[in-house]
Amino acid sequence: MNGKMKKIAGFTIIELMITATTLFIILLGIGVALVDSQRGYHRMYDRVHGAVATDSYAAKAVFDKVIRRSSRKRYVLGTGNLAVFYYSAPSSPSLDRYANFRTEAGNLYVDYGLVDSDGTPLNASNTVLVARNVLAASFSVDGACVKMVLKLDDGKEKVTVACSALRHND
Amino acid sequence: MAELKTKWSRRRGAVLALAVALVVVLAIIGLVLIRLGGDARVRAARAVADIRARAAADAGLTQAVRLMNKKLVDELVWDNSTLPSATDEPLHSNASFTYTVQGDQNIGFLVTATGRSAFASRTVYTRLSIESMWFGIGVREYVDVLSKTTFDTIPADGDFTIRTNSTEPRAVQLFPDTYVPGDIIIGPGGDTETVISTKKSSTIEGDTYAAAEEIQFPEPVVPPLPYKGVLPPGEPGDPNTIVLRAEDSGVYDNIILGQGKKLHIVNGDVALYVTGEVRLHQGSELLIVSNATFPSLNLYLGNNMQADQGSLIITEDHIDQGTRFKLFGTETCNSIILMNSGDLSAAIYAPSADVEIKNSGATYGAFTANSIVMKNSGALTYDTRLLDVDIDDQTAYLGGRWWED
Repeated sequence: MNGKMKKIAGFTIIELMITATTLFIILLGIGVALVDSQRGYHRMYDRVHGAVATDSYAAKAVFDKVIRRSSRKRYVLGTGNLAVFYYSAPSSPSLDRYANFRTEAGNLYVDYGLVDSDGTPLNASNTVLVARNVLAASFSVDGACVKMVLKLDDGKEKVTVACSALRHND
Repeated sequence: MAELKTKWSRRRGAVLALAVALVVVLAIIGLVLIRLGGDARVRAARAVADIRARAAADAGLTQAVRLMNKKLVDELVWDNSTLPSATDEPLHSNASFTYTVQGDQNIGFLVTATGRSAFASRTVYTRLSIESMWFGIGVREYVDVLSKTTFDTIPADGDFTIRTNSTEPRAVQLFPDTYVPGDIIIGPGGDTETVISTKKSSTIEGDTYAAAEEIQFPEPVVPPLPYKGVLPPGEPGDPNTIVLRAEDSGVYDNIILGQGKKLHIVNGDVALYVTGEVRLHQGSELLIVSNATFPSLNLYLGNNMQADQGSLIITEDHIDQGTRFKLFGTETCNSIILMNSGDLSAAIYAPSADVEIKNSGATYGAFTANSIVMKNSGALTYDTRLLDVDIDDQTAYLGGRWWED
């Protein structure tokens, strides 16, 4: 009986402490790695599919579409807004439509409207929300090239988007 | 002993299960991260392919339009059976374009260009129509309006354009109080603030902007004409008056009209190609009469031309019948100076010549040249009927609207 007890109680208190400490360190490492992985996953998900990423893609697509069809003849550049003019159809005799990019309350909108025979833009007939989470927007025009720089921030991610497009019509 | 063995083996199994579970959890997290990274890469690759496809489509469209305008210049008579096309033309950026041109000179030409890169495809279009290089004032270099000039159009409220290919500072200079009833277009990439120099009170009714690309002003091509040498003698009853009819069209060595000499165009479309100097001295007269045959003069200049002060260049009834005096300066014509007395009605197309207009009356027509200096102090009335051109005309070019899917 005594011989059996000696065999079972083969670990000293030192051995147990070393083992416990080692296990604690390993588990701590695994825990940190798991938490970090989850945090990395969320960060990456936000960058790929988050609100800011989606806003930036939408803003680029709309800007590209509108600017490319617009005319080099006219534009109105303001602080934080840009109006360009375009033909409603290839057969239109004059510039009869406008699109105005503007920011309001952290959103980027495009107003679409008609231009009268004198070339004066009428009230917008349609307004489209292009992007949310807009911190700042700036526009510049250099010849046929139009550039937009958007700063987006949804509290989790901050992104600066720069896009440019050429106006193709006279 | 048996109970103890069972306990030991249970403990070993728990650790193994924990380890396996941990590995599985870490593997799942790893796979999700790889998937997310892959999504980002795919989205970026799609964006790049889309941009490449778009640029390829634009390149295809540009090439098609250029080839159409080259064809227009190269062919004296338009051949609609050889419209340009390209299929999967490779570019250096893993992209290619395909374009087709459909239509004819009557209905216009539809150019369709598709760019492809990887899985992305973009299509752009332009509808080309025949346009005139007599759109008002067009120059390769500069326009100087050095005196008070009123620009106007026939009919009123017609389109009028001043256009230069230049981006140099002050390439378009307007005298104080000049009124421009249309657009001013400058060379690609130019800054309208520096290129267009307006003095006080000048008004530009239209828009000022930089063109997407330079307008090509091809050298005019002289039609085949018989060699005539010298002008025929004067009329029997009036030896100072030389009368030309359509059958007198031909190539002449020079035309020099001295004091009291008159050259009258009296019948049909007269085309003259003068290889030497054209000079109208003081007291001479060039007259294009008005009658039922609607006489007109197409004068091709192989050398320079000058109309001195006191000479006359008259086109009768030009306001009703349109500009019937057309001056074409070939590559070797570098200077046209018109200082004639009274009104001047002329359409000038001389892309290599520096043109100076200093007549004492009003000016009608349109001017296309290397440069234009206006020193007359009357009105310049652009005849918008000069916009109506045929595809085989010297001053026709193809331009149009752009759109995409």
